[in-house]
Amino acid sequence: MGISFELGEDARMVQDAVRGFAKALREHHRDWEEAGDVPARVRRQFFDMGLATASLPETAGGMPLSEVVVMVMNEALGFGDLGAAASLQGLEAFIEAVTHLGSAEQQKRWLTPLTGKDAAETIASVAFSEGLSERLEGLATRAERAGDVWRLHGEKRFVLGAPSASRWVIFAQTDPDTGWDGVSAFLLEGRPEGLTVGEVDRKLGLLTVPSASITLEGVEVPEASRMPATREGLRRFFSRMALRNAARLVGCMQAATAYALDYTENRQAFGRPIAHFQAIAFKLAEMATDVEGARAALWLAADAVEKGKKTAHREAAAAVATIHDLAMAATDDAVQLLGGLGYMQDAPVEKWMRDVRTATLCYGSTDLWNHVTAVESMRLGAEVPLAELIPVPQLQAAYT
Amino acid sequence: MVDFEMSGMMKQVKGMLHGVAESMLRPASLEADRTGEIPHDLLVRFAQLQMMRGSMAKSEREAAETEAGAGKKPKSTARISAVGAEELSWGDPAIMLTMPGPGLGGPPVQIMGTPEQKERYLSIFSNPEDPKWGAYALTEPGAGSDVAGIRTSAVKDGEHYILNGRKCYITNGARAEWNVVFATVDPSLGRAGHRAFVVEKSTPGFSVGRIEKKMGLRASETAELVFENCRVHKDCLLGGEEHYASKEGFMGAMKTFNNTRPIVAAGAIGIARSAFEEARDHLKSRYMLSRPIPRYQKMQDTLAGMHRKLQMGRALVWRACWMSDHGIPNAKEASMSKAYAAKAAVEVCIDAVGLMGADGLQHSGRVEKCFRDIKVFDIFEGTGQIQRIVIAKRMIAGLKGW
Repeated sequence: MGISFELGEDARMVQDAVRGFAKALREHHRDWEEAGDVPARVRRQFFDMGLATASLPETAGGMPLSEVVVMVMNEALGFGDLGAAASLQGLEAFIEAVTHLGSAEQQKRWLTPLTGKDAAETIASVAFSEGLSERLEGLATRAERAGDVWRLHGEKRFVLGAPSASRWVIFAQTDPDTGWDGVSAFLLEGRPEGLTVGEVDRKLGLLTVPSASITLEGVEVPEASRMPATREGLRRFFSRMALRNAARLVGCMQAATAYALDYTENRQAFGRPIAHFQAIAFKLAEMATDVEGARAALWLAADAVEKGKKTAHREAAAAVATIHDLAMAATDDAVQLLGGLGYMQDAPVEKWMRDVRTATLCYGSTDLWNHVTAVESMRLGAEVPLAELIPVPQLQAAYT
Repeated sequence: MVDFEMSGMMKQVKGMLHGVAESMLRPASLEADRTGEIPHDLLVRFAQLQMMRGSMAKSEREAAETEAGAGKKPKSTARISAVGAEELSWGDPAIMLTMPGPGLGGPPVQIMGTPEQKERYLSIFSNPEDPKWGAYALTEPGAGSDVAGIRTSAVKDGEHYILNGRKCYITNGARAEWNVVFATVDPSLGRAGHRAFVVEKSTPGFSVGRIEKKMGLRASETAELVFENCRVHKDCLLGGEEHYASKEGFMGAMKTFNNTRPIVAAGAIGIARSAFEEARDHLKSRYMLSRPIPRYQKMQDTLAGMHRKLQMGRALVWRACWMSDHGIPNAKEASMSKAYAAKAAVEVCIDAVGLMGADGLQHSGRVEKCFRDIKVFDIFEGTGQIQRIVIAKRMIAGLKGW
């Protein structure tokens, strides 16, 4: 009862299991980056641990883990290798989108199949990002209604998983005049007519997550497969995705810090381990402090989201923005601490720096999350209204 | 399970101390800073509340112990203290530091004192109508971070010790009934030569030197203490001579840092939160949410950064306190919380003044005072650099002798 950082038995079991599994991610991180994907047997292994569908809602026969446990799991994965972790968690976005935007019917229809064994091979994509738009609010991809069917027109970019996706959530503007209030998310299966997947993106990082642009030319979707995207639903989807992403980033921060510590404890210069020079030692101390702080802020946000607190959006946005900046700094510092070797592909740190820069653009930029933090801060006003705190009547008299 | 929901007791303390901060501390805050004086009746009321809270805490502890069996249920003292410290310093940090009581002198007496010494020195605080203080005198002009370098000497003379030297930057040092004074019997022994004496204000050879004029915390008394052949009976040596025969005896006092550092960090967060709220409300009223965003985006960014620092700082403090309450060794985490929170709090206050522009500079407002008050939090109770050394030593293999 009260503020606690005690993980508890269940969370620790998940943590131990994932840590063990994640060792393979570290061992093969270069091979898989070169291959541009994680091997199917590894994806299957992860799926069989029950973790790829950890947040499947009860409507689909799932037993969702608490938000903090999801954070712990993702951090352990990210510690192994950020790129591989992001790839393995490919189903997350689809599950979160359907859970927070879809009806109970839609959740049952689209998510229950993910509990089956063959679902291990399923790749699902959520397509939201677009190129530059003239619109200030809303999406350029539009959906036009014709009776009981919608037709999608437009282009989506940076769609993670697109090259092999067999399930889609595609965001489009259903009402051109109402900005973000006129957006819907459409559920699709397979490769419907009119949906073309472009060439695999050649990205800076996260190369184990194949992505591509997709073009939509009159792709037909039945009304039953439309999920109206309310502002609150969108907020929930994006904050939860960003938190999961952030958890993996915390794992990567921890990995970079540990790697740099180990290197500098052993590397000798001017007659001593370079970690014994104060500038290096202080930098390492700050990196370690940042990991602890990032994790604590992440858990605070996850707890607020789990409890549906009024402050949840603000705390999630703040934690995400913080972690974006700190993870970028940590991997940058790790390269720096390794000197010339840090720049080479012999060591993982340059990859992690590229992976972090890429991952921090997947679910909203840092600027966006800063904006949300500020807006929510101003909207919320005072910390917690005193009326919500337990009153102490006999003491109130003493100080009023 | 991981939880960030405060316990009932924590909420109660927060609510109560927020009320104290708002209704008692804040009305007196700016004037006290201007004059350097805190009204006597405010100190009396403060002491009365402290007594009431002390007995509340005691009966809560007793209830918890009877319920769970002594030592079984982890205490919440550290977490509660952190929550309380944040509220009080949100009110006014200088007045908070001037709260009547043994202050930083309390822990050494508690930890090292004989039962007779504890009774003699701690029983004087029982009457809130007549506020009294204790203080802790370690720092010298020539020794701040380098504690081993203190030169106030203690020479045995029969049943007495003779103290010679100077202490500086001692909070409440002048008004204190007694100061816990650290002196050395032999500088070449470093810390092993240190002894802690309780020196009462009336002791011949003890005098107060200057009272400092500071950047901030101006209502908090910061004094110089002078010892000129100051003769103290050996009964004033905390713990008696036997205590120092074992090295553990002295190091015990140092362990209190692991408890005090997160609380000081919580105080820093309180000040920063105060500044943040001023800036946020200023932005809210001047720059309505409906105005075009691009013009004020940089200001929103800055505001966001401020909240983020408060969030991370507070989370680190709570973690260090949770460890302390559970008896988990937390020297590294305690230093992490202070290293991060104090620096972040300074940045928040700097930004708060910036966001408010000319209004941020006015003496009539709180924010310029926050800017002046906060800086010392990265300096006292171990500078940010010392905190980083503590962390580094607990991380880096083979790092010794700093």
